[in-house]
Amino acid sequence: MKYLPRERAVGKLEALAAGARIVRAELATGARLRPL
Amino acid sequence: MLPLLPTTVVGSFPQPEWLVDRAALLSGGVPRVPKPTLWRVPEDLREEAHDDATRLVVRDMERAGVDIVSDGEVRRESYFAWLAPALTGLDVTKPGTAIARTGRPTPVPRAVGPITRPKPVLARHTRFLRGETDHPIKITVPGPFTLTALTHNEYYPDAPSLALAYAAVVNEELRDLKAAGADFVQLDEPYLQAWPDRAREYGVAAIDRALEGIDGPTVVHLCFGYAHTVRDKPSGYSYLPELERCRATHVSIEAARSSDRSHPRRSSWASWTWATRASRRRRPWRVESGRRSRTCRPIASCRRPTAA
Repeated sequence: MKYLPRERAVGKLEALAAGARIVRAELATGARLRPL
Repeated sequence: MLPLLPTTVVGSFPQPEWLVDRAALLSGGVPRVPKPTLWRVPEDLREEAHDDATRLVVRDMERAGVDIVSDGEVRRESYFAWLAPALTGLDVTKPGTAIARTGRPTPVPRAVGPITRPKPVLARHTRFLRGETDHPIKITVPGPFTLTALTHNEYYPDAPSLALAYAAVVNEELRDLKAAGADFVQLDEPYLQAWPDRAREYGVAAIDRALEGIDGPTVVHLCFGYAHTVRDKPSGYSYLPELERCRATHVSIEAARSSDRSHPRRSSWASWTWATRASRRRRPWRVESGRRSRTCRPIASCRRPTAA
């Protein structure tokens, strides 16, 4: 990420963390992940 | 305890414009020897500026919700160029030449004598980062294979000997990083992918020497190179299953931009990390981090990608 604008780098990290939260929440409720 | 699917960065983060000349950084390629003209801050004020830039990175990562925080490598001109000047046996003032993965000649350190590390290099920076966050922290160091690939060897009899010499000093540095509070240490080894045939000769031996006696999570990172400098990404990894037998507990790969359809999450994750076979046999590690302590377990539920 060294070469990205800072705002874009922060956005990527926020999306990463949000995605992880979604997966954790789905797994916590016992939901089955959709196959890719 | 870290959550399921803990998030982190590979290592680097954008450096502020007040700290580096970003236009020069973007146009100049990846430095393998020091390039002090990149810094906007005079040398006598640079350490303080690096500390302040680190604080900004930590706050950005914490606010974004990242679980394992790094210093963004904001003190470095590149992931690579900071180590050689701190070692003996290497000349960075009259660089040699190596062929980068792009196929272009690049100035690199020359090995002119026995490589030793007179004193710790990143210990203070690690203690500083440790004091800035309660999150687990990760510190990255270039790995011995990549260091060897980007060194003009005029002293050691062959590349494996040079790699083991580098591995010994990297091992000393990793021990100091752990003592200074690093929870995760990572070897950056992009040239394992760039030079897979040479990697099969001595890559794992060099990595294992570098990680000898290092407790807790240890990561080896591979990638295709900075997206900014390497535009044509290969279709998959040429060197990956070999790392299952190395001493590292985790392997981290870049998955973004890869067109490898064998990766189950090839386009949806920027990069991802999974536990090696050696790690899955081990007990969980106790990670003391700031005021809290956590138990880290291997990410056994992660599916391993099929190597190309």
